[in-house]
Amino acid sequence: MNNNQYIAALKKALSGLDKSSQNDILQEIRSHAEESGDSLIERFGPPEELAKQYLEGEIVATPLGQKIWGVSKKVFVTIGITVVALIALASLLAWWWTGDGFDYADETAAELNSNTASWQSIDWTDDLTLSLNQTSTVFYWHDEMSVRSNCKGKEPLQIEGNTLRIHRAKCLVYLPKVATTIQSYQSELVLVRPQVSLDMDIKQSQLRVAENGEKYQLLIEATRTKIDDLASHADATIKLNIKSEESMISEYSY
Amino acid sequence: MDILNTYQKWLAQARKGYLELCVLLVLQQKQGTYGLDVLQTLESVGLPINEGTLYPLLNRMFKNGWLTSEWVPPSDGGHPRRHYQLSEVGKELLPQMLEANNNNQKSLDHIQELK
Repeated sequence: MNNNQYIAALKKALSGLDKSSQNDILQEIRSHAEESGDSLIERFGPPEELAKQYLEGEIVATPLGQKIWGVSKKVFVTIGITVVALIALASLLAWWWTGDGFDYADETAAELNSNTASWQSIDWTDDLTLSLNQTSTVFYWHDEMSVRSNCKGKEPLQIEGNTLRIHRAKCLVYLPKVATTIQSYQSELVLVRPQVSLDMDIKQSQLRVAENGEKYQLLIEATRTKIDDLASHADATIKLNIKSEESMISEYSY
Repeated sequence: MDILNTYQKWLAQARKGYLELCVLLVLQQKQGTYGLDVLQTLESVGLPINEGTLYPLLNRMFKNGWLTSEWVPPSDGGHPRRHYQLSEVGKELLPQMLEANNNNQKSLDHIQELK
């Protein structure tokens, strides 16, 4: 075995080491061989034995570390990257299927202006109480004296006196500009630029407000409630009186 | 197991720490040098050492942070040499290791003087 063959064999035996360490070792052995004129195999012994000396104590560099269950690290890395990519793709698809279809704060969205049969309109001139139970509802305000709604769910809207009940449904609702009270239990509400003062009593709910340039005076009485990113303006004419328990109140963002 | 084999195993074990101390000392005395020079220096003071032992030892001491190294081209041309110097850790270790070794030697002397 000549010195070049020795270096090649040593390089192979050191393949578990990082490249920088490998290069330093091989260069140093080459340098020694050039200066001393020695035959490496005679002076250093078998390259595999020399490599063992270098690998002693190198956990990542042991021959066992190069292969796990007979499969190289490259295969494991490839499988790992593939799994991560599949998880990311699945998450993207899940988001696409379950995520909000559009930005609720966009009051000009096509979904809101379409006149499809699924929109229903109920004339409404009196004060209004909304009772929400396990719903996901987005509220808008319009100039008409009616409640215009588009709901998906097994139980339709129910009217009892001045109370409009929404139960286990997902709705987009336009409200008239009348005095309004909202009672919510285990529901998700988005208020898009409220145009009247509201009295709200929410429990175990998530309330988000899209201000859309409007200013509100917030009067919040909260118990075990997390409140984020909503500013109260003392000079605002529209008041949001909120009594909250075990809920989250925040600014709406898409 | 034959006596020679047993002795060689013991010697390898006993020399490991001792060689590290000697290499540190050579590098201190020479204010840094390269592998072949360390090898020849140790041989000249009666401590011959195999190349296959010295270079991995230097590499391990470097990895442990006892030494620093740099590649220096020889003044007369040729392949660059890897020069080693004592690191700050190596400089702190050396006197402690020397003291421990001297104490061991004294203890050994005392033991041999026991009757």
